[in-house]
Amino acid sequence: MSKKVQHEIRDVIHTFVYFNNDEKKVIGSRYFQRLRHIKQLSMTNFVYPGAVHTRFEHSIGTMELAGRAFDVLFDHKNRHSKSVEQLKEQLDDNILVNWRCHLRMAALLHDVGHPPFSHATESLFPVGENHETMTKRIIMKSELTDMLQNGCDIPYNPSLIAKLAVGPKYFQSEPFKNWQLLLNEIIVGDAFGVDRMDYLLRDAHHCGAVAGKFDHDRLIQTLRILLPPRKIGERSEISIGIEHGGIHPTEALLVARYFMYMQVYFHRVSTAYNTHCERFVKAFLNVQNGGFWPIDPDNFIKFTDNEIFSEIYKASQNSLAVGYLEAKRIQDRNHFQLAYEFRPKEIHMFAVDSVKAELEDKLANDFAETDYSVRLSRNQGGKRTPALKDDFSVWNRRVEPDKIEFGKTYSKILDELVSPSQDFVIADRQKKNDIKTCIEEFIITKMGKEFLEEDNE
Amino acid sequence: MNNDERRVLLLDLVEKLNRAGSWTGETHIQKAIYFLSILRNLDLGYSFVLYKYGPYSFDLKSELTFLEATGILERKESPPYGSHFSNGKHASSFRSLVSAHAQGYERDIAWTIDTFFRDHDNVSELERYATALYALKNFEGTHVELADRIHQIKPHISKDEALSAINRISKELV
Repeated sequence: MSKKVQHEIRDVIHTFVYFNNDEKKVIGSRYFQRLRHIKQLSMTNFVYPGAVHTRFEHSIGTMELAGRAFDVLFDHKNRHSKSVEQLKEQLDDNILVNWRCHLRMAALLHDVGHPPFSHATESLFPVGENHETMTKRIIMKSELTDMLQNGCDIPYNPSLIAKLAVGPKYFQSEPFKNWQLLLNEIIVGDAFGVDRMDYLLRDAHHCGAVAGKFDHDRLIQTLRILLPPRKIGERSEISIGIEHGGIHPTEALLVARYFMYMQVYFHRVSTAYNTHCERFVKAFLNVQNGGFWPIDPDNFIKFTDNEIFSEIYKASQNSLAVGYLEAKRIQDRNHFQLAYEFRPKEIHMFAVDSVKAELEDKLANDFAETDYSVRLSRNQGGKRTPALKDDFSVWNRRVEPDKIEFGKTYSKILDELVSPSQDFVIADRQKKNDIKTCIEEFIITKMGKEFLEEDNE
Repeated sequence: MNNDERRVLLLDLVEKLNRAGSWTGETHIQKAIYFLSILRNLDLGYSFVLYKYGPYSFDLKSELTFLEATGILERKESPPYGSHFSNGKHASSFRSLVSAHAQGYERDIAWTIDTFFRDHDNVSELERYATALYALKNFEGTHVELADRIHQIKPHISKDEALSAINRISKELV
């Protein structure tokens, strides 16, 4: 009987996902199977009950979209001849087959280093570590490395897979070639990365957030390798752009992203639950592992949402247990509530370290006995502040076959959107009004009455 | 350099690049900050990798996104080319709140603009000089070997162009 070479599974977003024997082997590994137990949106299911989907299905979906995007980008009929000149030595069928295999494997493994509850506990990695460095380590320094090199039908290059999965930021001493940057951009690119496409669609589906959907099939069909336009005499480097027909799906993607941040990712109650979860895990790890996630792959993969949630459940029933108060808050649904949400016009104040420290000192003095948490985008180095628009190139080949322009979005709504931010103070519900009053007084002191009057106008 | 000083310096840089007639896109700011970090020894705390158009800091990109989101910087789409930065509607309010200032770095900013932006403001040139500087600081070899390496990583930069950029920038490095 001949060996089956193609496998398929049903997927809620992509209907069917097909994969080969090597991908099946990696999916079956304990490193990847662990992702079945890492929820994509940490504690968001306490707000949106359907949001119990995992990194497992997102990773498989990202692999599927990476393959689709690759096939469109490298299809002969989709090539802008001047743009692909930078790749001319590599546009050989054997090389392309190899790139495609590595790209799909990288997309499959791009999230393999996520800790339990995903981003909610990312701060509990040791200094200098995060889920990307963990992903790199699992791909390059674990049993999976040997499987990729020696246990597959083709010999995979783990270093290349890690490069494509996590990008140049984590390979400072090994500069990427232009084709490596392009393949990495297919997965995690700012404008058209398939990681983002899959998680937006999947999160929207599971949360029931219809506004998070967009026409990704059309968008992927219009992806092209393009040279962004430069002034005369300037050269540019290839990146992923779109044909003209992709402008509306791109606008829909940008709007969907905005709504998903506003309605789901920065939701104040899920932020409160994530805060309780992070605090509990910190206390738990203080006892278990010196306060941090272990970073050797075999110890790291022992932890999933399941083990942690089991500990939360046990701790909530024992007032002497480590992390009891946070566990009890989660179990009793006695989560923090919104005390104050900073308005867009106030947030710039807290880009000033001394002002931010002054507010934090004031709250610490006035509410020493109160449980609260100050969430400012500034606290996270701006990394959780999404850019609403990124420059992208557009090729309108029916009108001007050679010309490429920077894309101009047409929907005026995009001009009106303010970058979503997660700038608020959440607190114990008994004290939230007192905290609100305290912050309002602080802002008047800092900015003057005119500041509020201006707002009234 | 603390966060406040670094942000004021970024604001000053953006303002002065605009005043000098630079396009002041993200690439211009990235390269200017790289030159300031290496050639003027300013400890700005951004780490750089070799990326599209040469040395690039993902931390600086996050910082620009944050400053744009808070209205301290403004980014405008400018077809047919990419977007460019200027000081935003909250820039002056931000300055009035911050006690730090960039006066100590004015000469460094002025030198960087005079040396690399005043007459050309050409992204390709900025890329070549910044990549040459990155190679001199991070790779080992003769100037010819470094030029070869640059050409391998960035095929659109010829060996001659890379060598010429290395020779020019090595003088600034001294």
